[in-house]
Amino acid sequence: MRIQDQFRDGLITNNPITVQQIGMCATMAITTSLFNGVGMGLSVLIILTCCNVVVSAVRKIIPNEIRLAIFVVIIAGFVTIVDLLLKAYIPALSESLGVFIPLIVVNCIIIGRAEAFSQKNDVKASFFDGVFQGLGYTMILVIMCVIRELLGSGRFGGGLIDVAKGFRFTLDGTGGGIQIFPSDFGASILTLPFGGFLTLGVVIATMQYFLKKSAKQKKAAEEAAAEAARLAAEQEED
Amino acid sequence: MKTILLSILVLGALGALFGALLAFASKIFHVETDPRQAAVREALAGANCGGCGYPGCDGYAAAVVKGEAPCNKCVAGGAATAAKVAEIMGESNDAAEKMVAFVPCSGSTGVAELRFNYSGPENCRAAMLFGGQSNKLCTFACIGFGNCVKACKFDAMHIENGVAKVQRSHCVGCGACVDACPKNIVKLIPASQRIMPACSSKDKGPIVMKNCTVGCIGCMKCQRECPADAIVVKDNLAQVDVDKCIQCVHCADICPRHIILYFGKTG
Repeated sequence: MRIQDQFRDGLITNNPITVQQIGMCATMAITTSLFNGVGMGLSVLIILTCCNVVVSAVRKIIPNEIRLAIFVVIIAGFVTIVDLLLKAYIPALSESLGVFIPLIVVNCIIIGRAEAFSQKNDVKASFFDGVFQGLGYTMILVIMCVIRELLGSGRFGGGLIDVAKGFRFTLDGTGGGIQIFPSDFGASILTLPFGGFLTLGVVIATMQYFLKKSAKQKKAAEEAAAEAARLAAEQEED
Repeated sequence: MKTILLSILVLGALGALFGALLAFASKIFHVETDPRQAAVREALAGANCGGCGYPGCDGYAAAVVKGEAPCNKCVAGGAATAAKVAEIMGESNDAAEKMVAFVPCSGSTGVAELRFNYSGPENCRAAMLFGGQSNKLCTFACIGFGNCVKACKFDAMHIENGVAKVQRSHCVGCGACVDACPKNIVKLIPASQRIMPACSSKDKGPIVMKNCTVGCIGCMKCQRECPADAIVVKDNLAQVDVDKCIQCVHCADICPRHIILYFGKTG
């Protein structure tokens, strides 16, 4: 499997959220500010990559019957490490994501990729699978955060960007973000869990529409090429 | 047999490996926490009931240590827990004096005149939707549909004759009823305070006379006769200064409307 294919798979054609549709719980719960979205996405990316590499490395010695137990041990180990890391260095993120960091242990993306990919592929491919699937997850989280934050409270980059004293990035969660329009005009329902479902539905539908469209175009192009080849062959026969 | 042995071996080895890794990680990513937080958490009742208004006992312990929450909010633990928490936090135990809820209204059925016959849902807020006032003519009166009763987790509130009453032996002073009352008349008073005017009306005397047969008309008699200057009529309503009150019960005896209540020793 080529890296380019893996890249496209992870971000678009086999995106964990919009195509595989796994790991949705945290997606809807935490996508209320860019700070949360980026933090959660990168945490999952790190854990997913580490777990993929380890699962792939031990794939030949683990008995098939207890593979799930082993996956859970590996995942729980890395999740706990990342949890401790966030608590130590980005306490604001740890507080804001709360229980959703420990809950990555039962996030379907990690165990799903271990089951579907890394237990069948070598370490290098599994590493890139982790990185690209993690990036695909982060991408959707960021899209949802931007939509919900902008339409819900008229802001961009809440918690991450501070414009109170000139433009700067913060990691202590105090940044107010860039106010694009007054928050009174925001559809605050989008910041509620209902808004999470709504936004996710719209994002998935949009993505599926373009996927279907490009698949159709590809098929049509293939058919046209086949037709042309057939005509050329007929002409040659004549 | 071979599979079982292999499984035990592999899982055991991985477990040991990750155990070591986690022990190492918890050392390098170690975060110093306030030792008082663990001590406060230990002192709490540990029921995770949410009666304090924080997400579980851990949340409340963190808020106490940060200084955001008072020491006496643990309703399940009661006074003993409050004293323990106050000791850990190095605060005096005065703040932890037991408070109880009190409904300053005596406008029970037949006493308070009605504005209209209400037959909607049994909910104070619903009753107030009709023009922002309740079905009782007095705009300060207890509506008596028991939003406070529903809010009380300790079965200390009951509706008697259309007015909420507090059963002091059950009340822990959590203040849930204070937040639930749409009229904002329920308040917390020190349990030791035995004198309280049971009326909230700030209307002038003649209006009160028309609305209710017992409400405070602001006649100032209690203010004149109080030996400790503890009772003052403000906004046409007798109000007791808890710090000054010597609990001599004189005001309760002389009140022409018999609105000043004396809670006996049994409460």
